[in-house]
Amino acid sequence: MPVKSPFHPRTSQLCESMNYKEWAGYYAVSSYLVHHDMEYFAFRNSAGLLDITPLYKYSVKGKDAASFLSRIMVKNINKLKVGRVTYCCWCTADGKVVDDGTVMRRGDEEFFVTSADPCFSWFSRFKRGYDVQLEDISTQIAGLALQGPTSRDIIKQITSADMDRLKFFGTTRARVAGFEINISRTGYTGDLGYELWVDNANAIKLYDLLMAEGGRYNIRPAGLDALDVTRVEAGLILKDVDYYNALHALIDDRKSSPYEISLGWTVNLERAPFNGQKALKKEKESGSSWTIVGLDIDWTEIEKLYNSYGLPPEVGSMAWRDSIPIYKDKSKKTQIGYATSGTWSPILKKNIALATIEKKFDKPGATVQIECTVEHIRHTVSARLTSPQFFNPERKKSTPSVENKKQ
Amino acid sequence: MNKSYDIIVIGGGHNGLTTATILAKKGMKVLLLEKNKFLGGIASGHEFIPGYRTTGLVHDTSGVRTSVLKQLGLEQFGLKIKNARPDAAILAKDGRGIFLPSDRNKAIEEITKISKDDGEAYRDYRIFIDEIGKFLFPLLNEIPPDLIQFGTKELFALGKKGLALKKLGKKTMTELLKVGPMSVADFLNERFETEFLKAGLLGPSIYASYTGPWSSYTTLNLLMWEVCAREHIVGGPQALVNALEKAAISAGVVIKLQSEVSSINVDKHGMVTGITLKDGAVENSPIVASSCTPQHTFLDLLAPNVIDYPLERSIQNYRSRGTTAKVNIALSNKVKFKFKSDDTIEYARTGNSIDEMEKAFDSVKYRKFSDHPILDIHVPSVSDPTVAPDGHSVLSILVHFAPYHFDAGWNKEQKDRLKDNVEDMLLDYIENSRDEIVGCEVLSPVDFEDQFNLTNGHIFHGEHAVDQLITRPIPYCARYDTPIKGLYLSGSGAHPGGGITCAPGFLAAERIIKHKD
Ligand SMILES: Cc1cc2nc3c(=O)[nH]c(=O)nc-3n(C[C@H](O)[C@H](O)[C@H](O)COP(=O)(O)OP(=O)(O)OC[C@H]3O[C@@H](n4cnc5c(N)ncnc54)[C@H](O)[C@@H]3O)c2cc1C
Repeated sequence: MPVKSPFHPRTSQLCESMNYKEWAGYYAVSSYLVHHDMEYFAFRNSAGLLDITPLYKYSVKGKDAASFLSRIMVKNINKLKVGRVTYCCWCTADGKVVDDGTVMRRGDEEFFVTSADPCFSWFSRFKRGYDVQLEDISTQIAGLALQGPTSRDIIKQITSADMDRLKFFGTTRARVAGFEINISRTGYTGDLGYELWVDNANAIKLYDLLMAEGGRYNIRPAGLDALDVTRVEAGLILKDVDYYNALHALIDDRKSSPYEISLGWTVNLERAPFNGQKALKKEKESGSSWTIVGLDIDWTEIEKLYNSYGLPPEVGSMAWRDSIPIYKDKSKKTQIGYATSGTWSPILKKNIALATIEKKFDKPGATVQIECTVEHIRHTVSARLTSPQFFNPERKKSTPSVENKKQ
Repeated sequence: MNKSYDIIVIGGGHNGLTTATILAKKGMKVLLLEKNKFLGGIASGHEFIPGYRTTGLVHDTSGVRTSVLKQLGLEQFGLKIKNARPDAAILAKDGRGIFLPSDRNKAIEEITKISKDDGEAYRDYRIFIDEIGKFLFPLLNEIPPDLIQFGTKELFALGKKGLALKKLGKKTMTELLKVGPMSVADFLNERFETEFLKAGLLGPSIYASYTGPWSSYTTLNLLMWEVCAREHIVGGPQALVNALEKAAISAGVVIKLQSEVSSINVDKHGMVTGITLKDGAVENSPIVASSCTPQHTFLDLLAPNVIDYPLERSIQNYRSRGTTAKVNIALSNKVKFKFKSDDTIEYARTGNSIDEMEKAFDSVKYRKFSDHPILDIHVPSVSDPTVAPDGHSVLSILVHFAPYHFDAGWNKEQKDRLKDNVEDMLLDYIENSRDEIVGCEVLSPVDFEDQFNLTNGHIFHGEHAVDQLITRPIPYCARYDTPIKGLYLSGSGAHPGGGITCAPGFLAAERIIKHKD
């Protein structure tokens, strides 16, 4: 049986659809209403409030906390400044990704790490020789994501912490109605947004406060179905969907290096040894076999294909996560990869997907074929290779105070 | 890099000295660093009570490789070797005993006095040892084949081993394959009838291996020891150390004592650059051979992120649970064993019965020491009276089983308890009385660790278990070199393992030379 997050007393009241998923052992709302579109538009046009308590959360403290994390992560955490957050992944010794998540530096010797899979045992393996205290605080801390264009205005109503100065991927402590929370300007929607971390005891108070103050800003509780659409639009990959945790992969072929899942930019190679460094250096030199790309699937071709059966075009309104073959051309002789997730993007009015393809076929702008089944028959339609980041609004990174000063 | 030495050897035990000397003789500029004020490591003797000395923490030198001693030219530095294992006595509690001269026929004669069948069985046993020695001994004197990067060359090498095994003839080969995995208790029960004889014979198979006589594969350990026990050094391990020291100096090895290495330095390409000493001094060299334990080398001397996790885990899993303590006794008289009224016995071992030995082992599983320990006794004063005042004796006793992981903790009280246990046991076998005991020194596995950085006080730098012998210490570095370029293992944690042999030190040197050419 899944367990209830500290927000459950509220979220369950609001969840009219009774539509839940299991996420890391928790009840997680898929959509509050029977259809997720209102929640999606809250993310994009006002603010959506999502319970992210099921994320795994770790506290890393101590004199060697930074070098300890630098040994584990592909990124040099020693260089992360206090008050900053970084997104990165961590690898096995052979340079294959175990998981990805965020690392927040809350103090010189104090970090907060989130992950999708339980990683306590993995992190613990590397403690020898480091003066650190690693603690799994997953069940002590509750999390809320408030994402969307009005999210900043809402948070400004509940705290005096300077939200106008908190930059993209910044983090700060904040006082809220008599208790402390941590706020990080992070999220999984690729939009202006924040994640709020609160002790379980104050979770409901925070929730109520946000909902009360957010009313004027069209806050709306949002579920995972809406999140899934936004994360594909933002080109953010998902473990167990777009790649496998190397420790869980049944066969080597299922393991991926950071370079193969578009996380090459998170790797800092030239520094003190870290897990996977040797293998990653080698891969950097000799080149990777796979890469993740975006697919912009040709709408007219879909329309035509359906028309040829006398049907109007059908695309699901939900984001999907199946493996769909990608071919080099219509002949279907050469399969060059597979799409792993996709969605109709309401805001872009495009049919988009994330796909893993062989690196040698990765030519931006090139046309490939993606399988499309109509009336039980497998066809293909054209798709254009693009960056996976389909949607990237300016507000995501904007900081009013800094910009105002510039003027 | 400013290269000061061609190679730095960490540890001045007998293996470190061997590696250093062989390489210096090849013209390399060698620096040898030893933590202690003296050389020899656990092969060194010391004065434990004013006027009483041991000739080594260790005493059995029967496995020393004469071929290596020759290459080191140790005779020219005063080393004397006898080409036979030392005579030994096997003791029973009821005052009986068997004297086992190294001369086989004499040994058979002695055994026959107790049991005619056992005399015959012993003859067959020795013949079997001779036969399998033809196959096993060479294996223990060469660099093991590469089982990881397995190619044609390695297949060929293994094939040759297979052929050598086959050459033993069908009977011996089948017998070896049958008995190797057996418990030594089963193996000896199939052959002998006298209980205390079996107990005495099996001793070396369970010393320091975290096994009792009923554990599987202990026969293999017994056979290995039997096959190697061919010599002994006059004057014991300390005499070997003295000769090694002279040979090292004459070969030009720079020796620094009281120089404990605190880290092995590695550059960002994963190559060794040298070492840093406890006092902060840095010595540079592209090659470092570490003769201290594999765990000390990898887990203490290398920065934690230098070794990949699978290697680290493998080293952490390397089993090295110390189970041996040492009790040195000063006696105001000659030692007189009950079963034989003369005072010429230099080596003796107890055991009494297989089950008593198993029980002695059981205790360490529960983090206790045995109240009825097994004693492996050396009386160095028999052949070298200078180690004790006139007419007095030194008993150097290895005590099995006493664990490193000891719930009660190794404090004075517990050491006194162990001393009492040992004295009680000893007095069962000797005629001397308690009043003749002048003094006693008790060394626990924790003391070994403190003095020599022996991980968990394991006297062989890691257990002699089959998996840890085939690829010693672990598959990633079973051929002296390690995943860290320039770092070699050259102590008892490398093939063919612990004991006074000079073999790991020598084979590591050979490997280093091969890599240089
Ligand atoms: C009590 C006891 C009884 C034994 N009985 C027997 C026996 O009867 N027969 C037998 O064959 N074998 C016996 N052994 C095992 C045998 O003595 C060893 O396997 C062998 O002597 C080890 O030699 P070595 O050169 O490999 O290592 P060691 O002798 O351990 O030498 C390693 C040296 O490295 C030094 N060192 C460690 N760390 C550092 C550092 N960081 N910096 C500098 N120096 C360092 C140590 O001080 C030591 O001198 C016994 C061992 C013990 C402890």
